[in-house]
Amino acid sequence: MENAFVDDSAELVVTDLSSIPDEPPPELRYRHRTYLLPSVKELWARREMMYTLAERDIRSSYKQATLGIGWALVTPIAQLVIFTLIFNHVKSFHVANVPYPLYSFAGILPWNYFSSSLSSGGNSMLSNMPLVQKTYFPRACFPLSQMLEAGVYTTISLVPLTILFVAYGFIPHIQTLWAPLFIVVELAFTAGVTLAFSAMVVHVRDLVQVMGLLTQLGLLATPVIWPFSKIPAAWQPVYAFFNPLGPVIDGIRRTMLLGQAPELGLMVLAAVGATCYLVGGYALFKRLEVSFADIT
Amino acid sequence: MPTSPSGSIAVEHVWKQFRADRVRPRLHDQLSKLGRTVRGQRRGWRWVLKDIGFEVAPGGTMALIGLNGSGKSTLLKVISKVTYQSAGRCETQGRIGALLEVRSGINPMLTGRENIYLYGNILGLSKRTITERFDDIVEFAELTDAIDRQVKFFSSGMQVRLGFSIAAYLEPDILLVDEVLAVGDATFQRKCLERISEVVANGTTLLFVSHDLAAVEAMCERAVWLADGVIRAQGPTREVLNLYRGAVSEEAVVSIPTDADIRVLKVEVAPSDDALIRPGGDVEVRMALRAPEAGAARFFFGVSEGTAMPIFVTGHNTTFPAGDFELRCSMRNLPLPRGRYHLWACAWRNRVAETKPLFPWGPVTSFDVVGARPVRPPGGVMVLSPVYVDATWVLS
Repeated sequence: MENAFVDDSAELVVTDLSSIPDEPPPELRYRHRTYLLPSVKELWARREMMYTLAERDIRSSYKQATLGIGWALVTPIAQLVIFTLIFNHVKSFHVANVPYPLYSFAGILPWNYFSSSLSSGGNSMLSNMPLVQKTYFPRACFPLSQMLEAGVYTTISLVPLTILFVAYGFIPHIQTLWAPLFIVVELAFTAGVTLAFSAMVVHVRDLVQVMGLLTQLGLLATPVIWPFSKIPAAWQPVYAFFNPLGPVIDGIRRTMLLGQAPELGLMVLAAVGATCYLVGGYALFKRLEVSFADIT
Repeated sequence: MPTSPSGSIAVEHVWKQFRADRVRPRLHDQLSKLGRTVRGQRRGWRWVLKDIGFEVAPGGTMALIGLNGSGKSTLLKVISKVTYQSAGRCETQGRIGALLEVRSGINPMLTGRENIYLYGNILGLSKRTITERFDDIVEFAELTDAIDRQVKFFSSGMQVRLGFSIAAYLEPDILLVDEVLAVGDATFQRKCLERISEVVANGTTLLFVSHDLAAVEAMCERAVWLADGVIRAQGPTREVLNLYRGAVSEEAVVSIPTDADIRVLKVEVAPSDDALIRPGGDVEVRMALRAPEAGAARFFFGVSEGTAMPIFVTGHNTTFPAGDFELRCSMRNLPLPRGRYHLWACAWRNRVAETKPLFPWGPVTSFDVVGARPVRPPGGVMVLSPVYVDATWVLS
């Protein structure tokens, strides 16, 4: 085996079966190593595939619906109407000078992005198992393409938000320019959680149910319908680290609706937390993806 | 290891284990697995690949043969990095394209056109490359009229053709082919083989898995024979195939049931005059049988290469006595080229509603035909079964 290539004219070799040991010698044990940078590069090289996957899903899910892509507008509007009808009367949720629907929508948008990424991305590896077990490609393409798809829907639901602003004659404050920071933190957190779940679900199917529970309870545990300030001040840093969505939603409300600067301390904590989620989630994904094809 | 040109495959001492006890992807299974690991118990592993080692040079053609469950597909998965080996090294240079059962990548809600782009992307082609090859792909799949229709309206044959065609135009450095010939109609199978040899002619390395030994022989210079996860033999295709066929038929002969109504005592295939059986020569088959009672039956003989379908069969109605008797059958101008063949036999009562044979169809003995080597078909052309024809060529 020293020479890399055997001459094609080589003669027939019949294996001496008794020469094969029962177990491989320990020094031959294969240890799968993944390196962060090459993996990310490989993912980046396959970005076109993620676009196509997201496009395929959007197309195929609305192809047979009369409203078509319009359905992407219905869900956030319905949520908005319901939240407004129910919580408009809860005075303690109100913030001075800001119409409650606007206040509520600023929470619904980031939350919906997270929850729809998690619920579709979390199941994406499982539902594409036949393909995963036959073809090689960077596995993370599937959950990430679901995030892309959720991003498209979230962008579409900016339309009703704009309409709301016009209807209330409310002009967003200049501090809205902070938005990219919130978006990055939200994306990092969402990617981390989605990647982790999409890989774990393959190994432990019970987690499908846990994911459903998480998205339902998470809506209540995150300041979507109530203000972030309801959390005791002492607990806010801890909360910000473990649920970066809290400071993100709070930040959007402060900047866009109230014209204040975001609470930088909490935002830093949220960013650190989101980074931990992202790195941890991706590492877990890479660790678990090795055995995807061996699972029946 | 020296830097190899792209298209090489080097597999060294590769081992792969699967769990023998099925760990289902459920919480308590995973927890008990964790518990066992913590307690230091390791159990329930089964080696599906043991100490596999072979190399394919760039542009080389290698076949993997073996019975079902011998580990061929697992080995392909290891090479294509869909799964990973448990021990050993498996190195490939260059882009790998796998031609597998490809319908899993096709989305029925999308049109054929959208699917070509999507599946091409999954296989690693860029949008631009797909656009360049789009017409070739559609033409190859014979779907020119249907390409803008949703795939759910395609017949299953059309879906398979679509999936295969996308993969066929990948133009990778290494092409892995797993049992694709089991799909599609005969014309499309032939087209696929032609396409594969076209790709190989352009310098792509081929690793070909098939039960179709004729296709293996037509496509590959070298072969690896896998049995129960180990390489039994490797070398030039023809020699490996001969060993393989021999081993398969040995197992088959043992499997003749002895509880049949008529028992086969002895079978002999004898050349009529010469000491050897030659292509185009005559043979006499002598079969000694024992019947518990007299009767009438239709006896059959057939000849096959390996365990495959017989090349020909011959049958004869006759009455037979109780006790021992011998049945003789002279076959003239035997249309068999050089090789090892198996004689198959069975007997049925001459009654219409008979469901159980007097003795069942099975290989009873084997014999060798000696003579000139059979003509190797041109690349990509499969010979259905080897037949000897006494041909004369004239150029005028």
